[in-house]
Amino acid sequence: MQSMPSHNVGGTGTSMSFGLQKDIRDGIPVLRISGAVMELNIAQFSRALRTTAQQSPTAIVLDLTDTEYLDSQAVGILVFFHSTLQSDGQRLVIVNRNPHANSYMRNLFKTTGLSKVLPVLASFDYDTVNATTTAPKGHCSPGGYLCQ
Amino acid sequence: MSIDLKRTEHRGMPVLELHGKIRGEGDEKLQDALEDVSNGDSPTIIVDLSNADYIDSHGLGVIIYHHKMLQGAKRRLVLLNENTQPDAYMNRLIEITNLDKVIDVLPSKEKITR
Repeated sequence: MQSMPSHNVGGTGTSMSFGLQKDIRDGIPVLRISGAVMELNIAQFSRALRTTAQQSPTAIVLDLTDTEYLDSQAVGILVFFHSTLQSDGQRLVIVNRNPHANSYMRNLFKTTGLSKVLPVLASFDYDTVNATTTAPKGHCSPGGYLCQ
Repeated sequence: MSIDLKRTEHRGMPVLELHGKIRGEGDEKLQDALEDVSNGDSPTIIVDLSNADYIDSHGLGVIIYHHKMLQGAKRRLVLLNENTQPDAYMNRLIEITNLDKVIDVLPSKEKITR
């Protein structure tokens, strides 16, 4: 039913196998997703976001640097969590440190316009996350990426 | 295979019907069609998913992008899904992703007003 990705460029992993790693960095939960997110593992992906969001952190960092494929269910789930977290005063911060301009993920976010809906950061700094998420609205530090 | 789209109208609102498998990766046909229907002055545009049985992440991404852009312009993109089969691909997609919490998904054309 799902179409497999037609290319596989730039992830640091060598296989499409799915991996999910959760860490806490300076109080900010970080989910690192590797491989392909598709029907087979979508429940695991969704559950990880949901249980993390239930702990009410100010921000969740979703690191897609090693993600090689997202199917439409995964895209829908990302958009849903981005939207609900925002309305709850939380933030979903998507990071892709993969420098390859023609990687699947870069291509997906750029060509569809999704990057205008779900901003993707090429790098991030936990100190900035903490500084900006704790700052009162409208008073975040200049250049802080959580500033709107 | 190229994406199968059909442009119709409902009560003066443009309708973009999606048929069969919608593979947006490497194909700008859906993007161009959405831009085309968005360029009119109708406050509401309808994307009819009733006859689509697959959509890839690029296709869904393009629809979400247009939904957000129209929302920012105080207009709206509405999804129409008249397919009532619970196991149908689109119904499972909507259920799993909660897409209907992000974009209005209506079960009947008659429920869509300008």
